[in-house]
Amino acid sequence: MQFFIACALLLLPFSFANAYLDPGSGSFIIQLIIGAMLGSLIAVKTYFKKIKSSFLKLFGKQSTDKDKDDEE
Amino acid sequence: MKNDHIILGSSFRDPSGFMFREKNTLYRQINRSYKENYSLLKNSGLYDELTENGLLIEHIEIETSCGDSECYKHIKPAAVPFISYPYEWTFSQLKDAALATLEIQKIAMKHGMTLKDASAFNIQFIEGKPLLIDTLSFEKYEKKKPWVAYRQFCQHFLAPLALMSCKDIRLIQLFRVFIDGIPLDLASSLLPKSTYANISLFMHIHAHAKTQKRFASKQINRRTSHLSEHAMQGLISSLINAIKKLHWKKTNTEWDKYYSFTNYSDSAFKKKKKIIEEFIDVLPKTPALVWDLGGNTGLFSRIASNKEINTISFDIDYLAVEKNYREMREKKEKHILPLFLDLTNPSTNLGWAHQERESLEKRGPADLIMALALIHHLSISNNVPIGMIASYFSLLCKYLIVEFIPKDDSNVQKLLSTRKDIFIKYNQKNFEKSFNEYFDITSSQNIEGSKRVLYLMISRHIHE
Repeated sequence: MQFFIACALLLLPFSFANAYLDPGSGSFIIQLIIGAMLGSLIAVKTYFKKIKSSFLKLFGKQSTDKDKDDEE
Repeated sequence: MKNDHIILGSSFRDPSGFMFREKNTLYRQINRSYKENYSLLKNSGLYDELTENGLLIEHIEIETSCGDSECYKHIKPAAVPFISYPYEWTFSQLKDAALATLEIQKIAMKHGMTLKDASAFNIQFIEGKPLLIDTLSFEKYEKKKPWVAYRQFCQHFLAPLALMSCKDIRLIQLFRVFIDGIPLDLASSLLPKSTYANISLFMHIHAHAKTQKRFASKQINRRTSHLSEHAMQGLISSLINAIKKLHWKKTNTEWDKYYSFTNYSDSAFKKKKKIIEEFIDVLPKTPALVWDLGGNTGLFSRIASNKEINTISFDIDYLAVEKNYREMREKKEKHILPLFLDLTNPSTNLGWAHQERESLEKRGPADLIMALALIHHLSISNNVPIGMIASYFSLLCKYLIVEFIPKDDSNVQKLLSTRKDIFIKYNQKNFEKSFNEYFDITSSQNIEGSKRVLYLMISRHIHE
């Protein structure tokens, strides 16, 4: 994960124009990077949950039984 | 503005409004430029949710004409018994303040608003809880706009907490020099290299500092830079996790045995408590504010706070303050506030024109000061002549409960054991003479079972 962020920091193609940065500009950029990655994780998690719940709805009983078997 | 309004020296940065004092009462002016945001705060349900959860200071609207073309409204916030600053807090206080700030941001987003600043100075401990006192800290959340307060949050909360947790608890004192929080490049250089392996600290401090440096003089087009709502939630959750994972490790080990309290008997100890209680009860008026200087873990402070008197329990030992705060938090105590204070170098006036942050003296006087088992530390460990202690105390309080411990007491002997005894004036007679120059001594009582004496005095400098 850390490696991924480090690569993102180095490789992200910034093409900024039109305004001079204030001292908070770096903070502005880093949160876009962090936010983009963490936001994607949240989005993936949300969709994964949705997919999981649809599957559970479809095969709810079997899955529950299997989970119980696994626990035992 | 009316002539009898005095604008607070700390209230000039935000054009949304300012704080002013009128006849010893604090008010906040809301300027017209903030009208829409204020309406949104009230109408969106955000104000109600935050105040109901004890996260935002309550206020009432004042129905008077402003007398100022910029003015939209005056509000009167609930009174804050004592303003404290982050450099007077211990680890858990800063941590709780950080988590409260992030909780506020989460709730604000739910109501379509966002925090436009995240200053630790905007948080105050009231009735034992961290509370946002700046009602004008909110603005409408524009979808996809990054969090403008992110840098400030990292500088005011995450960086000092990381330094305290991973390096040294005393580094919170950097706040006294850097009043807009610890610069992230400094924090990054001070933190151990091992913190690069901590993903949260790597992102929010080390990478953040490097990005600040890298883009310090470059141009960006902010219109093409977006932070989705998911991304913003991810950012806030990540900061919450980062803060929650920081601990003051010392607390797990030496905690319980840190203070073995006294060198005198249980009965003498009980007698001391009883005398202090009697001294407080005998005062002509119940004090509104008590400062316990050298309050340790707050044992004697609680004599006052248990009487529902707002009591500030100051100590120079971070561990004692931390323990005191945890006890307060655990017992949900509302009238005690533990704070760090080095009385040999007390908090001074700081910031622009020396008016943004007030000195200890300026935040006084206290109605009552308790200085128990303290004088020998100031006089012998720090070489302060007793007369100078008396003079300073007389500026800080109306009433004083002070304990004198003679030189042959084992605690004083301990201080003298490693140095030459140059303190020929450290005796009870000179103590009384010196204090009598600034105070009227109204009562003195020997603590049975010890050689110690407790005094109740009234300052001649400060009158009712």
